[in-house]
Amino acid sequence: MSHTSYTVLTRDQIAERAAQDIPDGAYVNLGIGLPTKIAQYLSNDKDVFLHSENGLLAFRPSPAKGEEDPELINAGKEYVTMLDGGSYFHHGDSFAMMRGGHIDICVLGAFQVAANGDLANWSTGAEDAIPAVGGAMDLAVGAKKVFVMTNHITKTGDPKIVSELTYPVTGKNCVDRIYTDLCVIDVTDKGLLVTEMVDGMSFLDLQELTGAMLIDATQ
Amino acid sequence: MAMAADVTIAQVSQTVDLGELDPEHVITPGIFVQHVVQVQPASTSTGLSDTAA
Repeated sequence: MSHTSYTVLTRDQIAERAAQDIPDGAYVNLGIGLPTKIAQYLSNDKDVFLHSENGLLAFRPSPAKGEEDPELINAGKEYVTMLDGGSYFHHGDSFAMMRGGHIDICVLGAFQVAANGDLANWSTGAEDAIPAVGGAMDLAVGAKKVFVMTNHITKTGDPKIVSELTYPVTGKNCVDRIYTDLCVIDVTDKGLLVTEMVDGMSFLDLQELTGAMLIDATQ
Repeated sequence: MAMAADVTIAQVSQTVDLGELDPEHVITPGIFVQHVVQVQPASTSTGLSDTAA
């Protein structure tokens, strides 16, 4: 078995790659954690409308230091700024946008993604864990497309892309694409199609790090 | 209604530049609206009013 040396992507590089696939005019929800980095990489020549569960539409991240408005935060409790044309609304309307299929793309983190697109990202089942599912379940089933941004393996070297979930499910059959620090995978009826891999990565090595069968679609 | 429909066409008498609508005052965010058609209000249509617009 060959073990070539490959370049693992940084979180910023995964975010930058995912941002490329967000089209002009899209309404997008970026999940708490890794996915929020995508906002920095949305190019200025695209109109992308960010949605946040707590009731914001059309905002951008990070005001300059010292210019934060303590009453203007997104669902991840980060200070944001509103764009011209932005709007505020209450949670009911916000979740109607999510559950009603009005969000074009949501990008979520993951503990696990199964081969059929099942997603686990709200609990590891630990007994004392805070049940903080947030809006993930609503986004997972409501968004037109669900992208997942995640490291390919856990800190202890276990695969996060698995044949079946072992953690509590967030949504079933909902993930469309997975961006990891090693590859990009389209989740389809035919299976997990690997469309891109990092430099130096061989398909066999990638398969070894994955807990479900992959299909090489890089040609 | 806009939330419930697949397609919403908003008939408006006036359009304004981005930033002119206070975010707090927006009742129907643009995510629910697919088309905007501007139509003059009836009182300024020719023949319906006895005063010029």
